[in-house]
Amino acid sequence: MAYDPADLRLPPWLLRSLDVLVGLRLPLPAGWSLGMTRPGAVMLTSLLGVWAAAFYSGNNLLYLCGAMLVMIALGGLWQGFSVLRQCPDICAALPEWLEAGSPLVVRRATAGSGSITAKVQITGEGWQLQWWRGSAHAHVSGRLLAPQRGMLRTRRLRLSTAAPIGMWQLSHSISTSIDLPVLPRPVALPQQALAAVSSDPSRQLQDGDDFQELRGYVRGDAPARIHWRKAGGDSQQWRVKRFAQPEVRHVAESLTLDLRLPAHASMADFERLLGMAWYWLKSRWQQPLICKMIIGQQCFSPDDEDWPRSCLKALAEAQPQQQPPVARCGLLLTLVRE
Amino acid sequence: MIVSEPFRHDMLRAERLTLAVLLSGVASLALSDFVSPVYWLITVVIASLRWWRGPGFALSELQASMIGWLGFLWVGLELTMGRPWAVAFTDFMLILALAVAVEAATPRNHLHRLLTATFLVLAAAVLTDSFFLIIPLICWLWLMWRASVCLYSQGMHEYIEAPPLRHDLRLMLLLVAGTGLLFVLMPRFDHHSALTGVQPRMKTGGFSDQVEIGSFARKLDTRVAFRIEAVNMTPQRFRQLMMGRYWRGVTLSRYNGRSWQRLHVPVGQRWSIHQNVQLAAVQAGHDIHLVMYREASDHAYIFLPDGLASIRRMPFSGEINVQGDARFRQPPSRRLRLHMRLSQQRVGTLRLAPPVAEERSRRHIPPQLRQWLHQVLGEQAQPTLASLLRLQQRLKTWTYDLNAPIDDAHPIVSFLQLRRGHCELYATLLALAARELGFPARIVNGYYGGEWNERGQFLIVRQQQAHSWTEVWVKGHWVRLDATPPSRWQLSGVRFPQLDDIWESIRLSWYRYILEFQNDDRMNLYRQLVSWLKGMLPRLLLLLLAGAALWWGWLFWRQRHSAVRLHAQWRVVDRWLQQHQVQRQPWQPLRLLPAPAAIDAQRWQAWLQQWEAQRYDPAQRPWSRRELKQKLRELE
Repeated sequence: MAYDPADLRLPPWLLRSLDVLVGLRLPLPAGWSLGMTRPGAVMLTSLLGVWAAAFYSGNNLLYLCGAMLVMIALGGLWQGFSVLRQCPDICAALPEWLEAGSPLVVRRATAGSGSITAKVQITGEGWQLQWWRGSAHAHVSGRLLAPQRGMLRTRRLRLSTAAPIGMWQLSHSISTSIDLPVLPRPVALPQQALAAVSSDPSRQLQDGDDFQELRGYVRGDAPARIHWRKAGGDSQQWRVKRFAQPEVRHVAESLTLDLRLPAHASMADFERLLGMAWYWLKSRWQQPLICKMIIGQQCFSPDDEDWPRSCLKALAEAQPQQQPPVARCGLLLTLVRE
Repeated sequence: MIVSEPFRHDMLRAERLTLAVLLSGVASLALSDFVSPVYWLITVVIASLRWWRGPGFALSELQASMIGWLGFLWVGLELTMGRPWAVAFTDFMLILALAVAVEAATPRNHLHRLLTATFLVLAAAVLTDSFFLIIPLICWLWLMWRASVCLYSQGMHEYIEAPPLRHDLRLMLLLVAGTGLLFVLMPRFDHHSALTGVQPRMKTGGFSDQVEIGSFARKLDTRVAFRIEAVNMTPQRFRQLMMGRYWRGVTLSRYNGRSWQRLHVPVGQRWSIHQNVQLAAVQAGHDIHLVMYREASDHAYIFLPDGLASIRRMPFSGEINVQGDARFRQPPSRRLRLHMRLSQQRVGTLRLAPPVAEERSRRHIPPQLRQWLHQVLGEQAQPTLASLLRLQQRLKTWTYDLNAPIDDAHPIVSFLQLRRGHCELYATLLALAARELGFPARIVNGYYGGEWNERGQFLIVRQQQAHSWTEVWVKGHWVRLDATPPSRWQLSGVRFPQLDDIWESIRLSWYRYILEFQNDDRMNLYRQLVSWLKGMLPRLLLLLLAGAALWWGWLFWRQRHSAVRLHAQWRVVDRWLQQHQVQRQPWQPLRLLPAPAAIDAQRWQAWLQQWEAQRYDPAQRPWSRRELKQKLRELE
C-alpha cells in the first residue's frame, strides 16, 4: 500500500496491535467475509474518534464530517463487493496444463474492465493469481508452479480485494470445478523416430475450397451458399453453390504407452516414460495431424469429444499398473506411423 | 540491488491530489474567524508553488519536521504572550499544513497530507459555522476519495489506471446523499463540551451593566442579532402577530449625568441547563410557538419579547431578576436556538418588582430640563399619565438623528438645545422628566420590531433595530413609554435588500438544518416529508408518467438513430468499396468479400475485426461517420 501506516514510523507495539486487528475476519453470509487493512484500521479508529467527539459535543458539523468519513468507508465497501461480483470466470484464463516443477507465468486479457480500479487476489487450492482491473483493460496475471505430476483440483476459489481505496479486505469464497492437469517434464524422443515422422511428405494435409457445381435450393440451406446473383423472387428457382470437399489423406501416428512397469524399473523411469509421451503429444499439439494415443488400456484420438483434455488428464493421473503381468522384455513405448 | 522505477504520470496525479486534499482542509479552517489571514495565505502560496513546480520544490523530511517543531515552539510563545488558545491552535495547524505541503514527495508525505487535512477539517468543524464551509467539505470528501483510489492503484507493482472523472460524479452524488441521510438519522445527545462549535462573540454596545449615552446605536449596524421563525402557525399570521414587538434586554436604573447603570437587584428565577423557564400561563391555541436563533455576542442577555410565557430547555444555566433582565451566567460562545412560547396578546407577562430608590432619584436632572417641562406642561398641580403621554407626543415631533453633535459631558442639555438625537437620548429625557414629575422611571435597552424576510418567511432582528425606551411606575404598574420619533424606523443600513433576503434565508436554512439540527427536527422533517409527499402525490405521478414517456421516447430515438447511423455507415463503406473495385450487395457481409484492390489482405482482415467489434460488441461504442472515414483512410 502506498499509504501504509508503517510509513509513519509508528512504534512496533502499535503496528503489532494493528496487525491483530488486520488479522480479524468477520464472516458474512453466502461465503463473504470482511476484514480490514492497516490503513483501514487507522481510518476506522479515527472514525470512532470523530463520532465519539460528535456524540459527546453535539456539534453537528462533526456529525457531518463523521458521516462523510462513514460514506467514504461504505463507498469503498460497496465498490469492493461490486468488484468481486464482477470478477470473470477464471477458468478461461487458466492454461490447459502445467508441467511439474516448471513455473508458468500467466498473463491473459479478460473481460470485466470497468470504472473501479482493482486488484483481486484469486486463491485456489495450492495456487494464486491476480486479476487486475482498470477502466479500459483487465487481465489475469501470476505465476503457477506445481511441484509434482497429478491433477491440480480446485473446488473452492477465494477472491479477495482491498479495492478501491485500500481500506477493507473483502473476500468471497465461491465453489468451482477446476481440474488442471500437471504433466511430467517433457523428455525428448529418440531423434530417429522424430526425423522419420517429420520428413514424411504425406503428413501435409490438403487444403481446398474449390467451387464444384450448383444444385437446387433445399429448405435449410445456409443463406451464404445461395447464389444470390442468380436468385429470383421464387425460391424454387434458387441455386445453391457446392464446393469440393478437401481431400484428406488419412496418415496418422499412434503412440502406445504401456503402464505396466517391469520389476526392475523405478518410478523415475516411469516418470521419464510419461515425459516422452508428453513430449510427443506436445510436439503435435498444434499440427493438423491425425494421431492416436493409447495409455494403458485407454485409447484417445482426435475423434473423441474431449480430446485432448482427456488425454492430458490420463497422462497426469497415470499410475504404474501391475495387471496383467508384463513380459520380461516388453515394449513400454511404441510409436507407429500408419 | 538498485531498482530504478520509471516515472509514471499517476505519481504526479497522486502528488497533486493529496496537495488538493490539504488545500481543502486549509480552506475550511480559513473560514474560521479565529484564523490569522497571514498564516493561511502563506500556506496557500507555498502549496501553490509546490503545485506549479512539482515535487522538485521540496524540503527534506528533516527540514519539514523542523518547520513543524518551530511552529510548535512559536505557538507556545504566542500562548504565553496571551494569544487566545483557539487562534494559537489554528496557527499551529496551518504551520503544520505548510510543512507537509513542501515535504519531500514520499508515500509518507501523502499520508501526512491526508491526516493533516482531516485534522484541519475537524478543527474547522469546531471553530467555524460559516455556510461556506460546505464547499471545502464537499471538495474534501471528493478529493479524499479520489486520492485514496489513486494511492491504492499507485501502490501496486503493475500499473492500472485510475477510474475516469465522470464515474466520480455519480459516486459523489451517492456519497453526498448518504452523508445527508446519515446526518439526519444519527442520534444526538445532550452533552456539551469544549468541542461544541464556537464562534467569535459579536461586539455590541448598550447591553452591559453600565451604558454611556451615545455608545449605543450610533450607526445603522446591519449585523444580525437574532432570527425568529414560527413553529405552530402560518408565516403570514406570525408576521402579523410578531411585527412591532419589543424585545426586552437590560434594565438601567441609575443615572449619573452621562451614563446609565444597572442595579444589582434580587434574582426572581434561576434555571439550570436544559431546564424549562416558565414565566406565565398561556392558553393553548392562543399561543405563538417560535424559535429564536441568537447570534453569539459579548453579552449574556436573553431578549424577552412581549407576552413571553415560557422558554423550553435552556441551553445554559442563568437567571432572571425582579426587573425582568434575563441572562446566562456567561456570554455563550456560540449561536443558540431558543424555543419560546408567548401569548398572542402583546401584554407584559413578567412580574416586575416595584421601583427602588434609585429609580426615584432626581439627582443629575439639569435645570434646562425643568424649564422645558414648564414650557410643555405649564404649571400642573398633580402630574398624571396624561402629562407623560403629552411629553411623549412632544418628543416624537423632534428629529431622529444618529449623528447629532451631542456634548458627551452634558448630553441632555445638548439634546434639549439641538432637539435631535438617537433613541437613548429620547428615553433618558423622558425618564428624567418622569422622575422630575414624581414618577419612578428607568430606561430599558433591547430591540424593537425587525424586518420580515419574504423569501425565508421569518423575522430578522439586526443591531440597527437595537432600541431604548422608558418605563414609568404609574399606579402600581410599570408603563412603557417610547418617545422616539417614528422616522427612526424608516432608516436601514441594508444596501441590497433583495440579495440580503436570499442570503439570510440561506443562512437560516444552514442554521436550522445543519448547525442546530436536533432529535426533534428528525421527526419534524419526517412529518414535513410525509405531508409534502401527500401534497405532491398527483404531481409525482404525473412526473413519473412524463418520465416514462420520455424514457420510451429516448429508447425509440436511440433505436431509430442507431438504425440510421448503421445505414449511414454502410453507405460510406459501399462507396469506398466501389472506389476499390468491389461491388457489395446489400445482403453480403464484408467478411465474404474479397480484399479490395491495393489493400493489404492482413490489414483488411484486421480492419474487418475492428469493424465487427464496433458493430456487434455491445461493450464498444459504434464508430461515428467521421471515425469510419478516418479508419478507411488509414487502411489505404
